[in-house]
Amino acid sequence: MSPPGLRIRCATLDEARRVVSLLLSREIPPKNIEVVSAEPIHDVGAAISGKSRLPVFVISGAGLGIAAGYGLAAATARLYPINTGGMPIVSPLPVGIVTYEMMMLIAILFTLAGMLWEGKLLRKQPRDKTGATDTLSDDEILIVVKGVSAEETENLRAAAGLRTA
Amino acid sequence: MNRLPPSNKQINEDLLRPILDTTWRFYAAVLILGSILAAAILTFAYQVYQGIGVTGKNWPVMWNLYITNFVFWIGISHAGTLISAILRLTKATWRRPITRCAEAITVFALLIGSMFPIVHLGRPWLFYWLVPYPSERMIWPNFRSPLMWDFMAINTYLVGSLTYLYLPMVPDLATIRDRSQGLRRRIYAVLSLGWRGTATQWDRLERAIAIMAVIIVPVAISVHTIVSWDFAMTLNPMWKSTIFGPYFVVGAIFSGIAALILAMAVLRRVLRLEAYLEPLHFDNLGKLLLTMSCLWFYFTFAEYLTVWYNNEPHELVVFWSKVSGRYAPLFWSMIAGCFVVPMIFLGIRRLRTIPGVALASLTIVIGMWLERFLIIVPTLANPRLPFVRGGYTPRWVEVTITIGTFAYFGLLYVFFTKLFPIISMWELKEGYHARSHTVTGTLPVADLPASGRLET
Repeated sequence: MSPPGLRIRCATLDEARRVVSLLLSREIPPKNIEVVSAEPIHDVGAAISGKSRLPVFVISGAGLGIAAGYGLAAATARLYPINTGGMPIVSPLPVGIVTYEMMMLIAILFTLAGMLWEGKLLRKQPRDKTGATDTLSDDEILIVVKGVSAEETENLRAAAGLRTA
Repeated sequence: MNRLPPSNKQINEDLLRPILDTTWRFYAAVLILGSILAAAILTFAYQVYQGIGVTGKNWPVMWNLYITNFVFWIGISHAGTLISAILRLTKATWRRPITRCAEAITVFALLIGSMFPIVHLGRPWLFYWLVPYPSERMIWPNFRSPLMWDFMAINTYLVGSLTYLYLPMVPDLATIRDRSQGLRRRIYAVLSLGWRGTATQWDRLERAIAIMAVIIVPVAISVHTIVSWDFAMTLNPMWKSTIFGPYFVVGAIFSGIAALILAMAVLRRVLRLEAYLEPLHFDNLGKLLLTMSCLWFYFTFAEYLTVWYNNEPHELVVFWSKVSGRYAPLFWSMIAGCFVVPMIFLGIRRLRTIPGVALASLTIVIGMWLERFLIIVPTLANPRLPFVRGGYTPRWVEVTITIGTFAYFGLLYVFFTKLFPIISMWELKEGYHARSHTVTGTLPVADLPASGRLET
């Protein structure tokens, strides 16, 4: 069984920032570092959370919404062309309004889906309680470092002046 | 006075108290509001059983209190999401304690508002004909009709507002999960979607909220514009107006802010949130409300001036019926409620206290309801064909249902505050820490942490 990883508890945001900075300076890959906190730490998030593809989700959703909206408003009107008294069967402005609303609707749903996917939500908590939030007190920040050998752990402990709990 | 910011623990305790402890006030509120709502439901059942004729609705005034309520509640729904989104986008730091309160108003008001077109139907069980699906004859809804645009816009706004309310709630739901046991824990575990608060999750959540804030503003504006087009696309006097879209949007935001302030004032008192909903919030929202009052008055003046100056006979009949005729008491009450009282209580700095702002908000909410009524009924009572002129007097059926919806709104709020923190805890914590720490956007140079604890 692989070790649960190095776990560091910090009492303040500044401490957490310093520890993450130290870990990165020791060339530990950002994907191996996990910071669990009760509030966002923006600079830490920017340093270790990687590139977001959320805009791709949103644009894809908007594109799909345009197609769906146009299909709903224009294609259905052509399927059953009712008498419009000489006015167009597919009128651009009403079709535009329905298309716009569908574009927004599906873009919203895709944003939600993208957030769930990229945030790795709807997944079970780790079985070994690594990084489990219920082990944290209100003000603590937990830093979990995966794939660190015992020797590296000792080096880090010495370099950062960490106390062993 | 400079107070020390509360610790994370203190914030959790204060804001989770209404959820974890149930007092007699909760049961009393549920009993009273639930009874009024039950009366409204029974009245609606009576209306369905007896037929729509039991209301005061009659030719030519076929749109009555129900459509007034529809427009009113859709307007109130602009409080939350729009205001919250604008404050987020402008990075207004004082927004933090009020955004969730506002977003919840949007969802509840939309739920209530979207109910009224169905209540208004003579055969409400056929409302599903609006849903775009192929029927057995392959006839789809007519998307050329503004009523279908309404359906599309309101549904988009409802989904967007629910998402916009839910996303920032996820971390707080996880906080409740971690402090609960048994069934409650299991429910909140599902609702919090497995949130752990990792840096990646925070990053994606904040991005998603920012994207939603950008998306929801044009959606909100489109919704009330489309509602206004239900009227403006006709040739009826005082409805056929090119400024009806922005006029409705301004009115919606105006009434929405007023409703938000009222809700905040009640919550502050009942849930003892004085430490979080501070006078500053009421002062800032009061100033915003004052601006909106001026803007609303400008649009109203422009609307009435052009009608009066054009001197078109059919329009003038409606105009005079409002200004000096049958509807004059309602018209001048509206002007007093939406402009005169707010000018006094919001314009004079000494009077812009929490009770003053709340009082002005109350008169605005009443005034805006009257405005919706005055847009709909006088025009329908005085159409272009003079031989079908009539009037409208509400009967007990629609009055009871109208009162019931206000109780329904209150009840939804009571349940919401019982189940979820009414103030976003994580945003509050972030705000307090941001005040005491200047974030540079880059990590500090690695040095020795003072007291980190290593677990091996």
